[in-house]
Amino acid sequence: MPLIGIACNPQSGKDIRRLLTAATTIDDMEKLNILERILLSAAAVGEQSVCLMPDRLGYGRLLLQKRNSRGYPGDLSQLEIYDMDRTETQADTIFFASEMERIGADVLIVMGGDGTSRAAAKGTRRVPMISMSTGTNNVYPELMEGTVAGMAAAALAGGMVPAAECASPAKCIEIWKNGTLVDLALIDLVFCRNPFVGSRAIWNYEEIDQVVVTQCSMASIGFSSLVGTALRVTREEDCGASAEFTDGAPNTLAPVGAGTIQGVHIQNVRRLPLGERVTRTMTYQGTLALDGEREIFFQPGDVITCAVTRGGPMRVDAARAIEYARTHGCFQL
Amino acid sequence: MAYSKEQLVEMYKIMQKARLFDKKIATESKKGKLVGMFHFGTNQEALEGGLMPCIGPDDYIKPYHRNHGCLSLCDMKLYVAGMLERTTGYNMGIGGDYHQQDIRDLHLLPIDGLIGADWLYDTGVAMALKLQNKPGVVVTINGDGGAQMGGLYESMNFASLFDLPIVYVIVNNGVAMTTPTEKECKCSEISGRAAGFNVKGVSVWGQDPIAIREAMEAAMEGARRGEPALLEIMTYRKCGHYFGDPREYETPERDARMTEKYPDPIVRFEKVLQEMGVCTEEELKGYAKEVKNEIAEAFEWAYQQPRLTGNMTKGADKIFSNTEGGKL
Amino acid sequence: MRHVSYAQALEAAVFEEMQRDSKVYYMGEDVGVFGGAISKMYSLFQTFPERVMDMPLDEKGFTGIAVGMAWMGLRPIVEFMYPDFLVLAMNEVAHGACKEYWLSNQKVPVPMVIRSAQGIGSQCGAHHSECIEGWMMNYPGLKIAVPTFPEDAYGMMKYAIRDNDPVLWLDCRTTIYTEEADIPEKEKDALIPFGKARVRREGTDVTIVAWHKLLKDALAAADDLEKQGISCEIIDPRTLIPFDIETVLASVRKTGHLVIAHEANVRGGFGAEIAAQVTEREAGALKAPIVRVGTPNTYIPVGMVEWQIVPDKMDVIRAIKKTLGRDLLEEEKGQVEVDGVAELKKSRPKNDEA
Repeated sequence: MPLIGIACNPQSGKDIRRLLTAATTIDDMEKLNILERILLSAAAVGEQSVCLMPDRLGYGRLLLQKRNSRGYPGDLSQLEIYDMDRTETQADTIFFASEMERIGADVLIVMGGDGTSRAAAKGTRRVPMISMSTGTNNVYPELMEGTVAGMAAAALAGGMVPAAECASPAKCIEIWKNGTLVDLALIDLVFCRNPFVGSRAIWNYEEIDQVVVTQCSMASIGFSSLVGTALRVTREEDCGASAEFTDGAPNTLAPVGAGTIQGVHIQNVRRLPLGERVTRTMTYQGTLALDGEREIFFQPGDVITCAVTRGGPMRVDAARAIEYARTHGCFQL
Repeated sequence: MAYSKEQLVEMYKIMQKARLFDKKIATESKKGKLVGMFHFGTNQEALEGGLMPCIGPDDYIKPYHRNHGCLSLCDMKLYVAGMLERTTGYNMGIGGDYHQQDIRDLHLLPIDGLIGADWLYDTGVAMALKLQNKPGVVVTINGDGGAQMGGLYESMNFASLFDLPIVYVIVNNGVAMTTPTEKECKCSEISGRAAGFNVKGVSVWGQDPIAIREAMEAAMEGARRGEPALLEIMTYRKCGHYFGDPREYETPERDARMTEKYPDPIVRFEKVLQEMGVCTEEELKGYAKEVKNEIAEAFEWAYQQPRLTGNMTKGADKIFSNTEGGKL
Repeated sequence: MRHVSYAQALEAAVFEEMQRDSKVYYMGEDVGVFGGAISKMYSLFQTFPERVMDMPLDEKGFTGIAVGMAWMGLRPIVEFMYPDFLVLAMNEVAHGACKEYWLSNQKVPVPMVIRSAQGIGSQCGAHHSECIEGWMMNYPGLKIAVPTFPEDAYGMMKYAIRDNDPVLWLDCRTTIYTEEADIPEKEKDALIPFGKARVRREGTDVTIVAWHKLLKDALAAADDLEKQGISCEIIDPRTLIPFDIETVLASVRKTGHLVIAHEANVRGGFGAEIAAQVTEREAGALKAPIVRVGTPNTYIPVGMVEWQIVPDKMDVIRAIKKTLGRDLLEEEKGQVEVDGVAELKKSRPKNDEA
């Protein structure tokens, strides 16, 4: 039986940046609706079982309630809630993704922003992953209708599309602190002058020191777009980029966050070939923010090393998957 | 933004105040020196540590019944005296632990005994500020239980309709008295409801005072320009509903899981401060001792104060400001 | 002096107070352009568009908001389209408005007026016809005003707005559209303090305490009974809290008989409180048991049949004769259609359609 795993992050799209800007809010009920659409369309395309990551709200429980309610017109019979201990932190997503790899899931759907996809990537880099954006900064995931994600996942899981046709390893930034590999980021790594993890999000852009990215474009928001003001690196290109920011006179406008465009002073912009290690000995107290969230505290004297590699998760191009299945007659009745 | 040592120490002291004040009440209650119902906020102290420093002299705050950290606003001696039914305390001692208030001078709004009934009054206070073009933001706090009251949703409608300077704070500690949140509502997070009113709603992990302070500063900044906000603090109450509650509704498994997710905020903050080299362990101990002494002194002073008697609370002049016109 | 209707007298009072004090706000449903559903006070919104605030259909909500405003020293007047709706805001009135002065140890007065018109007269049935003083009188911190005549309403409303305590202001729906009177031009003559009853008619045989519709009925009954040689003294208390018991006691000492008539339900009505106070203090002066007149323990149906449920002039006459031990005339025995209903109906559109 084909197996689809779904990790839906209940925390995504809800953080403090909503207070400062008009960032999108995706509430629980909307996520529930998206999940329902994924399940309905996947079931219509083929037979499969679906494992859903458990969470505090119980998206799965609510969906099962719906399925069991009288006169429900759809079919959610494939749904199962994966049995695991919850910590209600991002550790759940990491663990769930690794479990999906262990039990041989054919495809993993991840709902969240850059941070959620990053957590899933820490769990598995082998299971093909469809990342749907329900977060704040959504450079890695795609804004995708749940129905489409469901179709693509079902086509991939059901063998209508070989994974090699639509999935390829994504880039990531590997990070070492004092010689130990500590973490990875999918889109951006920010050296931040704020020493507190605090509410995790960064909104005070004067605190940004250096940004390293796997891809960047000015036509997106978040920290990658800061670098995107100077050059463009696509998802496919085999390189990353780095830039530094100082409090000098602003020399460019940058779309730094949802609804926020401001002048920044950018310097020392350069492309980073895959695998090239950037090493810095820190001179101040600060944090490393990974895909938008302050995560790792560092002290003066700590040595931080990072490198852009192709060690990211298997990223699925959903449109390509559906197109392949269509041209091979998989949807014909 | 990075906070100065002074600011960090203030936050730490407020958290200790919340914890140690609760402890003192427990000790005194066991000695039989206190009567009445007391509600503790053990493991929730980061809330006050992060929130109270954001309250400026123009702002108004309405704590809830588990917020002894909000004492940082008050003269502790007067608060304790008020709590102990002493006439020299706040409100002559008729308010007990949680009806103490001082709208005029401290800008401390009264807690309504009906949990969640006060959202609207506080929104009215924000309305008065707005109508009179006064600076200041109203911060009003309730739990996830109080967040089920219709008044919150009526309030958010008014707040967004009239662009009021108000921040609604919900302490979602996973349980309303004894009922877990999942039995109260289908949403795990209440902040999502705010969007329907065009109010900005976010959830914040409640064990880190820095996270709360950052969120609070952002929320108040928005509220000042007329964008009300709802801030949900996700935390876990590691004590009974009232002092003496055996917590039979809490299973050891859930308690262990929640404790892992919501570790002791004071221990955690102490670790952060030391790791960052802001304070040494000795310094931290010193601050805690300082707070402890302040509390002990306040109780000692309050015990010496004259007691409230029933007669002092009776009479038309206590009920009406104007008693002209005969018998009431 | 100017000759005005009850509605105009109230409008003048609120208008002048809003002019005098920028802290006075008028809020409620449809009080803006529409002028309010009770008495169409158009001039308020025209002159003070900032301070006459249309509220969402949310009685609990806007009452709570008004309470918070009053805590902060503003003076909101809250209009309830019908007093029955006050149950929706009971918490806000009871805890927010009434208790705050006491709880704050006299530091925070709550200067607000809650205004509505009560009783039958709208033919709107059970949810729109209630008289509520009975269930509101139990909150120690609330003042209750029940004016019936324009000259009282004018002076009392000014007083109510200036008063620092929460006031529940109840107009009478059946008389608000019909009564006319002269009110003073100059403000200094105008204020009527609370707690002073007014003797509307002097007499020697029986004391009648009544307000609102029943006060009008009692005055009509007194005219009828005068022809039968019964002399009635009629007292309009004007405010129930504070209540001018001394005026009532003085009258009872003179007449020895007491009838209390109100439109609210008899059981637990304010009449019971008056009867209890008089019995406690002047039982010796009473020559016969006190008789209460009020709506029986039931609800008001929709339509004109409402006039047959609430007491009327004949009920007052029967009550007076009962306490005096006098025989009823033949026409006083059965249920009698109320005189003047048609006239009332005719006179009402004058305000409604304006």
